[in-house]
Amino acid sequence: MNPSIAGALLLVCRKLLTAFVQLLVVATLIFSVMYIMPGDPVLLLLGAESNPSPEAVASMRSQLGLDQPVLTQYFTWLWNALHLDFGNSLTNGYPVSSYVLANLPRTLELAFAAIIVATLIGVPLGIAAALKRGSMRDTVLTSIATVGISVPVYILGTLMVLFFSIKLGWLPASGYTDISRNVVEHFRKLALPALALGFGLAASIARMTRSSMLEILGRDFVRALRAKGMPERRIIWQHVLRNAAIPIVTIIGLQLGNLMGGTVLVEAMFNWPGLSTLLVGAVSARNYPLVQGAMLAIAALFIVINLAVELFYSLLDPRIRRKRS
Amino acid sequence: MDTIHVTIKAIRGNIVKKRVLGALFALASGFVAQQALAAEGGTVYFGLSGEPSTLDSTINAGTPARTIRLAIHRGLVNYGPDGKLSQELAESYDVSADALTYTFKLRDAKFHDGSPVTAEDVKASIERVTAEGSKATYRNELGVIKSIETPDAKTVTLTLAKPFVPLIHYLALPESAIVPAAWIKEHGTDPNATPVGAGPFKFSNWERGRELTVEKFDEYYKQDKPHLDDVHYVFYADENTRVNALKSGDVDIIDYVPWKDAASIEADPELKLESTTGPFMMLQFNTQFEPFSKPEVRQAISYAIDRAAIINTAFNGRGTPLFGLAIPEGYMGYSKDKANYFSHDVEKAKDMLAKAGYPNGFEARLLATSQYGFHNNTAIAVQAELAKIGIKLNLDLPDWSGRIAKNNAGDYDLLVAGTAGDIADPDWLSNFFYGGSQLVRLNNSAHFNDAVINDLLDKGRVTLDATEREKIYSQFVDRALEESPFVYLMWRDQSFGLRKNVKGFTNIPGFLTFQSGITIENTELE
Repeated sequence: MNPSIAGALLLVCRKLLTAFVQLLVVATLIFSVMYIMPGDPVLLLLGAESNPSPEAVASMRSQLGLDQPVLTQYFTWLWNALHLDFGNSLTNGYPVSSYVLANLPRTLELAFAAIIVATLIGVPLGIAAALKRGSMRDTVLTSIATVGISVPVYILGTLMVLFFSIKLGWLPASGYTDISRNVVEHFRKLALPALALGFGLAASIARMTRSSMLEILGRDFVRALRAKGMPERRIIWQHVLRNAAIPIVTIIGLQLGNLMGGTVLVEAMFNWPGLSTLLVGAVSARNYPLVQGAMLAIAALFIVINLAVELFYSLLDPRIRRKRS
Repeated sequence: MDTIHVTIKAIRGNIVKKRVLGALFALASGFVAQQALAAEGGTVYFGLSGEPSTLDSTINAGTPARTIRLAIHRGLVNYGPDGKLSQELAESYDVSADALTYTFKLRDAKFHDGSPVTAEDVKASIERVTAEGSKATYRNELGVIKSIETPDAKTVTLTLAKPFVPLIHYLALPESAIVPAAWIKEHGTDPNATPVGAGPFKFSNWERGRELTVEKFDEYYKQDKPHLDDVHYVFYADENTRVNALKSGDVDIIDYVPWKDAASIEADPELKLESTTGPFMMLQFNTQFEPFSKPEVRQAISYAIDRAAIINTAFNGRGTPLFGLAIPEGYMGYSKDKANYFSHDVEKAKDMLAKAGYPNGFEARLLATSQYGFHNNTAIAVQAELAKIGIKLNLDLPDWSGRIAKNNAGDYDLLVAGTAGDIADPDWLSNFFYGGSQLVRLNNSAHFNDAVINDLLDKGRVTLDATEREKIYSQFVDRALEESPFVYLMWRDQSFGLRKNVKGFTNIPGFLTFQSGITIENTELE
């Protein structure tokens, strides 16, 4: 076999194994955390404001299997989870997997929309700033980028809602419409959360684009091309940008995983029914199986995305592949 | 649906334009113009503070669940917009002189599945609550019903094991809804079954995590009701998101308006605020140990706390101080003289504390929750107030679920609670003050058990004569103030936010604010 293909396969296998171990550790952590937390799902289920009788509580507890020893519950859960069965929601008996599968694509959609927004804003701004280094334009753009990185997403989101929804009435303040029901409404409701989530990222992409461009612009081959009399426009688009692209692509890829963290706030703020909304609701209700399922899905998503980015990156840049194998 | 919503927005815009153009005619013709615009039908988007964990009609799973169930279901009786009992599926009822037999005559009504509401359905619905192993919230209260007779399809007779005057009020709760006997047989134990009731709206769709839709039931037993075509209950767990949704016009009504946003909603020309002072904030004590086993200490705390500090710290000034017992004006047991029993008096509080054997105060653990700002901030205000008489409070602030668990385990010295009575009958007090066999409960002061109070509450439950009952509860109030198992802090404003064009939705005063969802049958859009 071609040694470089064998090396790539080995790398993929090693990465997959690491990912699996990571998932197992995360799963165990998730399971234990829920049982350390005080609070009783049964009481909440029977109406926390009222006074359920001890018999009703006991019967509900055994019906839900919560009277089993914790270790038994853990191994049953782990075994089932390996078969992609995450149990049933405590509140209504629906399979957890159906909740997770319904909400997972919405979180992914939000994250990807944010990445697209961020790239569309960040890269042109970065290029614009780099081309006029030290100018007024550069200073303004760099300041905007600094602000964008520093402003927490919940403040930015609130300001956007105040301005675009309440003052101007252009976009809905929150919510979600299924794309099958109304395409326009779907994207109108996606716009603000994607902007809020993507803006901070746009700022870091702009900064990365700027510094990466500047670095390449200072290289000898650019001077050579200029000396050769190549038009400036062609130098920038065909040579500088292409060489500057690798660090930019990397930062975009790596941020995708981090965006999962940002979605927690953004989903709550915009009532976007993704994994985080599911998780937050489930935690307050002490809906153990749902919390475990949702957290596991988020963790898995994070691990898988980072894995994909790393693999993709090493395929893109042969130097990395060679170095590691 | 969305097109309808857009049309409504367009109408809203028209109203504004008309007002500007017809300034001179505003007084004379504005009313007429609005009348002309008030049309049947339309869609209301109702922003709720949470998604129900269940729609099981026998379990009180919180206000959002009740709001939705009150659109779908009706009971024999319910509480109407004025807070009084209203005959719903029962056309009339009669209570025997010994308060042992209740006879109901049913009206002609239909369930959403088209079947008529019969005596058998009433029997099956009540027996579902009282059945062995039932998880119904009010199983104990309705458990007093010994047998149910159905002499004909339109008559139901309930025979009680012992006299129980407040029964009719418990039957008025949303958890005593009447559902078809056939439905119970088939779906009674399935938490996900499509609910079928006899209310103004029928269940249409539940998109988990987002919204629940109900649509007009054409054969509702009240003529010309409901007015709306459908109602979308949209879930907004985050309070800021909920308020923004109202302000931007995404929704037409929201529940649980945060106190900090009340003023801005009032000031908005497009919006209005419907407020009442039903629920109250109080301190519960674990009375098993000193110092809180001593009534003088609890009284001293009541004297020591400046109620205004709490209202301002935790409720943006939106509340009414409470210096006596939390009995709403107009409810049995209310007395103007005793409403201000504990006036704010720090010196007196210090004296009482010294007499009780704590001249230098003491240290204790105050349980509240960090999950809800008003609980959290009430705890902080109480901590600051009691520091003035030498009581050092350490705050214990788990999330809501953790707090409930500790509350139910009696794991606290004193705790911040915010609640309301269940019913408009004075027997609501039993849930809070009665000792008996289960001494650690959600709503009582742990281990509080006073023979005089128990006895008066027992008497109140079996006495049918109103004057006699009034006397009993007046004695109760005296004893309760003396013992002070609770320190009452304030009546808090409980508000709905509405767009101006929403008419007919009423915030039911007093404790019944949490059952205001029933007035969706009167709600219309202009």
